[in-house]
Amino acid sequence: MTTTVHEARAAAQWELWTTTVRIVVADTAALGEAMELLHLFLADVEAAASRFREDSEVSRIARSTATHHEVSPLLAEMTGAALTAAAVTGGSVDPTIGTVLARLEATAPACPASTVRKATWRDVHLDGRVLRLPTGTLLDLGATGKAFAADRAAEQIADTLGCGVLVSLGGDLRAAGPEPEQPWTVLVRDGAGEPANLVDLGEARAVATSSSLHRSIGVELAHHVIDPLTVRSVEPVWRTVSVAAETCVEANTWSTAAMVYGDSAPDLLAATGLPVRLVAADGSMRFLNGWPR
Amino acid sequence: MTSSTDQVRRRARVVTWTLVAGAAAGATAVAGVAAASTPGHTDTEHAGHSGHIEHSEHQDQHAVSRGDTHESEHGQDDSPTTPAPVQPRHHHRHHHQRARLAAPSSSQPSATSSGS
Repeated sequence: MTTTVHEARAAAQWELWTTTVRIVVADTAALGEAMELLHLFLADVEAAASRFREDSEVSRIARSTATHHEVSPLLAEMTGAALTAAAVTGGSVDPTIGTVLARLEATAPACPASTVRKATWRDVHLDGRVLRLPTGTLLDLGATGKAFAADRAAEQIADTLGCGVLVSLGGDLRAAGPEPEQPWTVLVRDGAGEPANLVDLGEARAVATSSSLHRSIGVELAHHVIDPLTVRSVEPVWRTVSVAAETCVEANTWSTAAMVYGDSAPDLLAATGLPVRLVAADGSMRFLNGWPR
Repeated sequence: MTSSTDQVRRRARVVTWTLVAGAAAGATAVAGVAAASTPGHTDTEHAGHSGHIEHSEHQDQHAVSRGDTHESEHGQDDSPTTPAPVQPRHHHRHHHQRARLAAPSSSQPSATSSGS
């Protein structure tokens, strides 16, 4: 873990979920408490939604023979956010892909004989805290889950401590609380050697980036963005797509969907009105809806 | 069987229509995502809210993309042909800019947004 203090801001970062967690606070004295709150909240998220933990809620639900489950308030909210993302993207961001991902990861680098899906997001229903879904369905809230966690953590910490907060979970970042005197400046870059772009968060309070450059699973799966329809890695039309929005869930929803949309992404994302930055496979960039160049 | 290209094109039309339908409903589907993560909503309120969107989108998408779900569920395309062109009720796409970013005021970023 590292901590830094710079120009009336304090920051800390550590590794979690095979990615980097970073928190920045506008009140340097608040860093310790902010870190503690973030640790506690992320532990709750993991207990609810990690498909890599056998004792998590989503894992227990996947093993259960029941079809109706009363879930925790947190998992209900995360599932609701994931289902909304699926609805607005026409199923291009689908939380039921978890079962397929688990099977692919278990057999990597070989490909399993069948990757046919038994359920889609349309088979998942949420009524209050009652979750109804086909037996054996492992929810993968990874697409919107980190973004949801960044949103909720930043909001809760800012409310509790009364200062400006920036939370980044694996590059999905969200600002909350009072606007600091010096705006939040964010570097958008998908690793060393990739095109870089500095922006200030203005009305946008969140930026999410999806990439085809990371987390290889196996031979058939060149990277981790899976098209729910074909159950294969998406065609690498875009190396990286970044979207800015008021919330990280919204930004992540569209950045993830853009990877699946491929060539159609610019037209479809232009219609959202959200600032978008796309880096094509050849490294060329496109900017939509006022993303600063 | 339809090709994956056909599948993507079909889905693209569905998504375009979804955006339009959301705007026509008065509360855009995109706004629904923002509301889903807004603090202050109780769990019941939240679930009811997203459930409403899910329900309406479910019905709407079935109206224009029959076979889409079954195709992914069973690994085969049971829709006889490419569905009829989408006929949105209102040709009113929202192109207004939302959630503006600004040019950088500092060369010292507080954080980095990268794919993970």
